[in-house]
Amino acid sequence: MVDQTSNPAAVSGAAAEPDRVGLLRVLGPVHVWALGVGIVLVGEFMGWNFSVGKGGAMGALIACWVIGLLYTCVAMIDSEVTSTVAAAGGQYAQAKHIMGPLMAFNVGLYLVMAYTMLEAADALIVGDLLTILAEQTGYDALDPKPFVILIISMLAFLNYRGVFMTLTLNFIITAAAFVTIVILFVGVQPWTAGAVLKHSDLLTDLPYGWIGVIAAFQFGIWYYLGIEGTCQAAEEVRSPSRSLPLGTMTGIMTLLIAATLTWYVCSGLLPWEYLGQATVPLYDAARMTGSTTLQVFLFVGTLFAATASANGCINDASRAWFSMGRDRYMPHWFGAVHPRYRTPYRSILFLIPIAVSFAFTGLLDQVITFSILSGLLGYTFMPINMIMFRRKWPLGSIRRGYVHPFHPIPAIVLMLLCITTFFATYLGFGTQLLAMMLFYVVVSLWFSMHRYKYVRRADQFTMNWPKPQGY
Amino acid sequence: MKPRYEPPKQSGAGQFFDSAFLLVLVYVALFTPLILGLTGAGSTNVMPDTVSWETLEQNEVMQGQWEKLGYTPDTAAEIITTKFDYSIDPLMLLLTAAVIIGYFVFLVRVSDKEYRDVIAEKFDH
Amino acid sequence: MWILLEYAAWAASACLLLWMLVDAARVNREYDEDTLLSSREGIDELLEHGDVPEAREG
Repeated sequence: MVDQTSNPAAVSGAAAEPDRVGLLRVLGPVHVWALGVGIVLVGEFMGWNFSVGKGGAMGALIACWVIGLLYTCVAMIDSEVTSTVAAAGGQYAQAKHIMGPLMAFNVGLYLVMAYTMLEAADALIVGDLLTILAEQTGYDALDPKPFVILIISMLAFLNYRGVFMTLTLNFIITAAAFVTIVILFVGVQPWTAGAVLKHSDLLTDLPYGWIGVIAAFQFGIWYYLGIEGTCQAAEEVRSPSRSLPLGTMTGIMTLLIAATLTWYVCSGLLPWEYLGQATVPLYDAARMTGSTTLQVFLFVGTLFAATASANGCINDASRAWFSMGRDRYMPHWFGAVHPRYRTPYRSILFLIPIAVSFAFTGLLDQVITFSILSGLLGYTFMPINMIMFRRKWPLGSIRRGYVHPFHPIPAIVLMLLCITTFFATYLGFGTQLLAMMLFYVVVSLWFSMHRYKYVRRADQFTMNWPKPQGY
Repeated sequence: MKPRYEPPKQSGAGQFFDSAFLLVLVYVALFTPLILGLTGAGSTNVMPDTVSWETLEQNEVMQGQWEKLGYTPDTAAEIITTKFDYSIDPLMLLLTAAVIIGYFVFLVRVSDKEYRDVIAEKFDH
Repeated sequence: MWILLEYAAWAASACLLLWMLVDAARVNREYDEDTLLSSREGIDELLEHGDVPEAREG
């Protein structure tokens, strides 16, 4: 383990101003990959399959690839902006520099909400898995609550003690979970059609036609939700302009592969009506092979994936909350850094009871919907942000760590896909969509009329850039 | 030139109140649809008169997989026959679209106004 | 066996949470608030690493 108190970056930072305590720059590209993929990979073990229920197995595959395109646009846009605006809080800091305080406040909240609620869902999954295990060993009254709390407090403890250890662990368990998907894929002998996988008999036509395919987009997001979290590490990565694009792009490739493998295995083993409502589809697929080894592997894989996801979520949500506190968008008290571990310790602590309370409401689908929708709002912000970024600072006016090709096509594609996904959400969860939009409208009014008066204006722009064009 | 804006310091109690206020709002947003009984997608269910794998339109391979999962036609019928209802209420759709678009227009407008203050203070002082 | 595990989980979570609270309280006492809140967005460190170009105009 690296001694987190004697990092050269910290020393040089301290030399500039003797008693300033900031986050530590200790992470490399693998950690960025682990943060991004770690949060998301749990989506392959559960959640994505609700898209099968919405539009049939083929519909889900179309959704998987179309939403994959959406996320490729997200990764391209994000890589360019974050490799240039490298600050904790990721998209929040981007919004602050490019669009303005109110947008930044909203983006910060999307991040905190999306991640804290996803974290609650992950912890619930760990609890469910243990309940299943207990049932299989003959004890069917297991109370999952203590294990839900334990997993959240263990991960919060890790996060509290330092980012390097936290994300190194995430790398190990994420890689292991990914390997279990590959093992399952090999285990079902995809090279001999019909031996284990029975696609020709199980695949049906689109049960709802094309509207079902669109409805499937909503849960197609599960395959990738959270990959954009890589940007949260910007202030802790050794060389952000290189590591962030590298980690994010390899992350999205890993996910595209994992998503396709997952779909292929599950749709070849489970009737779509079952798959569309299963809680742990990959584990079920392993059960169908009849191999105990595969079953054990997938049990461990699911457990690891959920843990890695919760871990990454704590990391990201606390960074976003911390950055908002530091800028006084939220109470300033949260902007504190632990002098020894160099972590946003108050934000980490504050978010523990909130995540636990979300987990204990028992409203898993509500919580997940809120999480997905907050993510979706964040993706809708990105194309607007990107177009303004290129307009206010055209290429060549500042140094960018990475310049994405084909601008503005990714931005336009992303915008169109977001609109379609909003429509898909309307089809499935119209009322929640409206309730959540009203929530964001109310907090926006609250911010502009109340919170904004505590914000120091000039401090909202910390990059060393020339004045934006048109101002 | 406007003078530099000096924000007031917020008291501890004020900071606490603001955090609590935001949390309450989150819970209201989470619970309101639940209390109003408006959660989830609408669905329909048409059960055939006699329930068997044939009337549920499951071919032999599908039957085999269902049985391997531990289902019988009776236990699987509910899962198979429940279908989502994708009918669209144009008024609700318009209302939702208006809220989302209105929200983003509001965000972009107000952010830009605040952003001009930030830029003015940062670059003109 | 599972019941014991349940109790162990409660106890372990309580220990971890308590440790964090105690540590946070100790830090609050030992360091003054201005030091704890002294973090700024990462720009100055980045400059030292030559990762970001110099400012062109004021």
